[in-house]
Amino acid sequence: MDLFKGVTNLSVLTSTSGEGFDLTIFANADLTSENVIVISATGTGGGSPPDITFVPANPNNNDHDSYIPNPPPTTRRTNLDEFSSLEEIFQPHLKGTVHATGILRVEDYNLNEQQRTTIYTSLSPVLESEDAASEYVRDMTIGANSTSYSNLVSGRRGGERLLIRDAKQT
Amino acid sequence: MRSLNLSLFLLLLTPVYSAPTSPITFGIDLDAVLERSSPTFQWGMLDDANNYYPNDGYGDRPQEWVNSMFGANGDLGYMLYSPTKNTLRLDVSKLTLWDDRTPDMDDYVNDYVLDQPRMGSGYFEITWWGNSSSDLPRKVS
Repeated sequence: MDLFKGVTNLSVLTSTSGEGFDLTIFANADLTSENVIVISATGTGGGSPPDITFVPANPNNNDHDSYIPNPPPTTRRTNLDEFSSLEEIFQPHLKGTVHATGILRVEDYNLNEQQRTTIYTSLSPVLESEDAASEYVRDMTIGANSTSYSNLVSGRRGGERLLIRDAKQT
Repeated sequence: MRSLNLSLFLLLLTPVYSAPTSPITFGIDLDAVLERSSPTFQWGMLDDANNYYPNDGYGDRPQEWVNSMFGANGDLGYMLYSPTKNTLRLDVSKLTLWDDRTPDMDDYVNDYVLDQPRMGSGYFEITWWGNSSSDLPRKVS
């Protein structure tokens, strides 16, 4: 884990013959849309990226009888183009508000022709409607995807980010 | 007096607008300083018989959130651990998402744990599969 850049790198060997994948998690993925975490998986040694699926939280995961759970979440999937798709999970609340999880998935190849899966994920704050929550996570994930991959790797530094945020507040 | 006030106002603004990125600079290489504390984890190594063993000097893999690796950006955070030897689980959450039940709601139970817990949003399940020379589970298609 690189504490300065906020990046976690994992190298996973899945067989004794050297197949595996690299997994990288960027906590500070994009300076312009701060509410994004990026996960990137690349096959190595002839291996493929792993299966990556999102499991929405179960609002009824509580063993107290007096607890009234939120309504179940709903999911909407949209194919954006040949390589990318957007999954939006909407969690309604008892008060009528909603928050959303946005997952933009891009399947492509890196410069070394290795199969790569990149996932941009964003969580909206509590908002008044499903449309507002959708707009928020779409802006965040699609905006982060518009930056180049090399910028994700080299250009994001947690220390600078905190300084900019502090300067704005003062 | 008015002119003095204006001058002071402009003087206060000067450092903000003249700094290209931030008015604050460090005289140290923060990257290098933090590098010394960047943690490294290793687990799931194979012995000569291709068996996994936990006592390899690194310890067993983190199987629950209580001993997970975690990271955050001040707004979103994640916890990473390995519930089984061919899966990673990445829990994601947001600083401002709480199950905020208030006394005006019928389901309010006046219990901090029930009324004010962090609201989970979900998790990524990252799974890989074994082949004929591996003891990992095979993918069922």
